[in-house]
Amino acid sequence: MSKPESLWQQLISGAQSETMLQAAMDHAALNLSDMVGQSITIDVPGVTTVSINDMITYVGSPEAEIVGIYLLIDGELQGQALLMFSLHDAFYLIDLLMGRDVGETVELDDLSQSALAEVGNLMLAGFLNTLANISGKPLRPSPPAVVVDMLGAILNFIAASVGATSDELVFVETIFKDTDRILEGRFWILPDPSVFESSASNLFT
Amino acid sequence: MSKVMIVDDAQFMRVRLSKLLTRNGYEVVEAENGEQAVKVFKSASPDVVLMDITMPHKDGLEALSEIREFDSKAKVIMLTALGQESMIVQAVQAGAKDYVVKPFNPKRVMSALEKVLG
Amino acid sequence: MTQNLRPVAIGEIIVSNNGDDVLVAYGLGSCVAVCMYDPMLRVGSMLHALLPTKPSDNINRGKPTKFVDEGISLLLKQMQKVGGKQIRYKAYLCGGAQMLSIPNSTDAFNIGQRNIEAAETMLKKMSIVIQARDTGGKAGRTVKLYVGSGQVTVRTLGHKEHVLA
Repeated sequence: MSKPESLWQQLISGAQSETMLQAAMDHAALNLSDMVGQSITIDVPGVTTVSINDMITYVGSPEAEIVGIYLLIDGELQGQALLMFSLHDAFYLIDLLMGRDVGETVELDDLSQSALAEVGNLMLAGFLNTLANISGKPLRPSPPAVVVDMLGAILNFIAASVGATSDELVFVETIFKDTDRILEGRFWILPDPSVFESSASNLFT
Repeated sequence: MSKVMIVDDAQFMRVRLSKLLTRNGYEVVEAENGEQAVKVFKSASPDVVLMDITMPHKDGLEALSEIREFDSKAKVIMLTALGQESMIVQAVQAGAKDYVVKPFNPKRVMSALEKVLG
Repeated sequence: MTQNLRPVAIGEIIVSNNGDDVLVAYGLGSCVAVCMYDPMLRVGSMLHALLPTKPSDNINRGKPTKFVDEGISLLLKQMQKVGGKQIRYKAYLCGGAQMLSIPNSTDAFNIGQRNIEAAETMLKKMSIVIQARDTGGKAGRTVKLYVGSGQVTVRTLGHKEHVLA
């Protein structure tokens, strides 16, 4: 590892990893909860490693229709983030955000997409704020991009960003749900592949 | 009637804020990125600006500096998801009058506006 | 008719002479699928590649077949092994969409386009004509090659499978 005590290393394998991840993801969930006016619970966040080949089936069927909210992370924690919902759950989330009756949203117009983009922005910002206030250095998300497509196609982008250096994907993951358990989302935070660059050759030779 | 400029790249956020402000008797102008914010500020001369930070085509901190360069008395309140101490310090040094973290409480936004305008 | 679906994962090549086989790359985004068919032998093959070109240094970056250029040359070798003759090949190229455009980011994000170009370059070098293609755009695709007939189909979200060739 180039920087043994980098923020990524602390987060993924440091002694305080679990505590930091939990606090940061709690903050992300709290932001969503404030937005929708319902409490949001999260599974214990963990660090997951899957091969590029298995990453799609790890999440679901490759042709499943998914809404992805994608962001880049800049600062001490170079990387990317992806928030995933089934189309059905995305509609439900928009109903909550817009104060509509459940089932009212049936398509993703510009306003709905921007509502989802803001969910991505606020959840990632919540996560980053916690870590930035620990490290004292700013961590910034990019403006979000919302994409609706087959799961395989959405994850393809992540695979391509990692694939240049290795066949494995390392990411922080949590699953979050609302109290009625209608909404379920998956949140990934992925370190930039350069974090592992010096060790990549050891892993695959 | 005081004129507020809302600067946010998310249409959803502009719509929400705009409703809140007009309901409370403010006139509203909007911009959807930092670049546009500087232009609209010059043409519409708002009394106060609510400025997001994370935006394409010039972020809110850059727009803040440019607006303050153009008008050293410009009143800008940051309204951003980035609740980070180092960022707050940076914004205040660049001349921001207040810093409200999203998701925002409507009362907090209203009181920030009243304080800055009053 | 029995159909035997054989998914081709990222960085994988499948060559088949079983007429019941359907080679399928599910949910291609920026990835490309290169299909090669020898109509005389009724042998079909598919490569599902992730990135355009394999760097020339010797650092091990995992499967070589995840790169378009290396993948195509290995695919041709495998076709040759089962008796394929390049002069008969019908080649098809699908995928290479640009799924995301990130504000403030550079062209580096358009891996899809670079994958398409890498495949075009490699096939041209090998003097193989692309018979039909469905490339670029912004939508993900599922691509199938029916080994028995040599038919290639493409499906995008919200649409039925359509015959490319």
